[in-house]
Amino acid sequence: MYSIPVIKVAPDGSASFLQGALHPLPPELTGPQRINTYLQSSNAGWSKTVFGYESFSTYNDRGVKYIFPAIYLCDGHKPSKKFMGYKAQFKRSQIEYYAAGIVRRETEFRVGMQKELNSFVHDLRRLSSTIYHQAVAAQKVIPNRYPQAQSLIQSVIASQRMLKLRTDVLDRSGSPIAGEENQHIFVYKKIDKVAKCFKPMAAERGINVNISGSSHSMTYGPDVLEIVFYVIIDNAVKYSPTNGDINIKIDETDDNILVHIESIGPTVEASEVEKIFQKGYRGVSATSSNINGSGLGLSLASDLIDKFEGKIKFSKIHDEPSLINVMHSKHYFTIEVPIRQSMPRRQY
Amino acid sequence: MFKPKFVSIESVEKQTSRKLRNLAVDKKRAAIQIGVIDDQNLPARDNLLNYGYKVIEVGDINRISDIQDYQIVLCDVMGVGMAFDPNGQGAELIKQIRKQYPNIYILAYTGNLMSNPQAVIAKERADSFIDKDADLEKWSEILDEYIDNVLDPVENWKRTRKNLIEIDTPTLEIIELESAYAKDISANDKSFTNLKKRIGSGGTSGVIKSIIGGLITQALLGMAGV
Repeated sequence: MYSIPVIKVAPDGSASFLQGALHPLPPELTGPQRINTYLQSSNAGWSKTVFGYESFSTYNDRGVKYIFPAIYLCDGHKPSKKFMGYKAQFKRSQIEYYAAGIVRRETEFRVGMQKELNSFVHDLRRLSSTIYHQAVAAQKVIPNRYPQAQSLIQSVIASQRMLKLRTDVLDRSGSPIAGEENQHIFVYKKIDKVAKCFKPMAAERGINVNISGSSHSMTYGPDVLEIVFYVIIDNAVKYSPTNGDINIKIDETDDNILVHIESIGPTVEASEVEKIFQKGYRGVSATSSNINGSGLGLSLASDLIDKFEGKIKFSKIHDEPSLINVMHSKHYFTIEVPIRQSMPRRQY
Repeated sequence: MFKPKFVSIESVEKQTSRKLRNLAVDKKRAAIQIGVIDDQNLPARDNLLNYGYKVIEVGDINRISDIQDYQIVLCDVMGVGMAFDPNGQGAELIKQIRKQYPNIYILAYTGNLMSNPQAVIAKERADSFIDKDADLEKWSEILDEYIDNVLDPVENWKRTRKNLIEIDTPTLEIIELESAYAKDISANDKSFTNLKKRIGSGGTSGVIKSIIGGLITQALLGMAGV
């Protein structure tokens, strides 16, 4: 919340207008056309805008632009048109001081949050690692004649694997491939590993995670393919009705490895199909299902698949009868990555 | 018959990779000392020992020479290297190890965010990178790959050649060293007669002699047939 109106423009050009809480702009100065005009001011500093009002722009250290639009200055130009209740209240120096304060505070907040997040992820990975290694050690010391104990340990290991993948998703959401080294990756091994992680949790809701087909080929890219499968299967489990099945099929063409993931979930309208891979987008039915979600997972999955020069596609098979007051349909995700078999020696 | 003056490393590649393939995994794991630089215990340590790796925790270090006896170093990114640069931490430590012992393979690991600046720098400087919470399959996949590298005389030469190029060694000298090394490997000459003769023939700097000394030490591990 800001005292005076601000337009924030991200480095990719996306902009958001935030009305001033104490000193709002009059409606005549806030329509989409007007906002578009304010966005034209390209340089930092002061510039003249509609009806002779002035805008002030500044940038933070990440290239985010802050535009304080159409300000009626006490010590500035006289506007050619005045609006009821919109008076000159600020001097240039006051706006500049306020803008600098906002940028500084938001930067400090972001840096502080980043440190907190780093420390949180660090602790999470350390604890997760300890849980995993202790469970593996326990598996060794408990004799096989105690199958129940072995099964419980397997569940602990599966849960830890999920925790690790969830941490990876959190980690990569900010920076999908920070310094990630490319390598050859067995796709089957990755999907099998993720499916196994989900089995115990899915089984609690009567959901079967089935895997079929075969693939012996490798693809080439950063070691993040598990995250892609995690995101899709996590959604499938989360949104699936009780006793629903999740069917994973893997096969190959001459050039590609294909992974199909079929599940039942809240209907995705035809108009939404293109949008589900957009950052922050959640389908109407998914939102009304009251299941938590951020709309970031599929966007991350799509970004990661690009690194393999692969594709991720979504299709809807048919609508199912309404379940728990939400229309459901059968969903198909198809992940396609190129086969890259050769294992060259390390190049220096 | 024409006899080439210089022998390239590629000429012994088939012979050495066959030999390496035939070595038992447990013997390879037991042959290589892996030093762990971490201010805390490595959670994976006991399981790695059970897998047959020779993992030795050395804590944080005050002198780079503390790790000179290890062929592979696992280095945490945070909380280490405090005696060198408390800001750079593990990333600075990796830089210093690389400078003084270019033959040692350095594998960085961390629990930090991937976008953390120190983690990003450490990744660039290390040979490979592992998440702290990686499973044993991942740990052993990476460790086995680098153990193979340590035991592979061809891999060792390629790495040494890169180091020689980095310090601006004249091309002819590199070719002569490669040729002498390849002949010794081909003949399974554990005394490295040709290579020692080449570096002893005058004109070879102390830095190059030290790099070649490291190469011989590692090559001997592979030639011992573990």
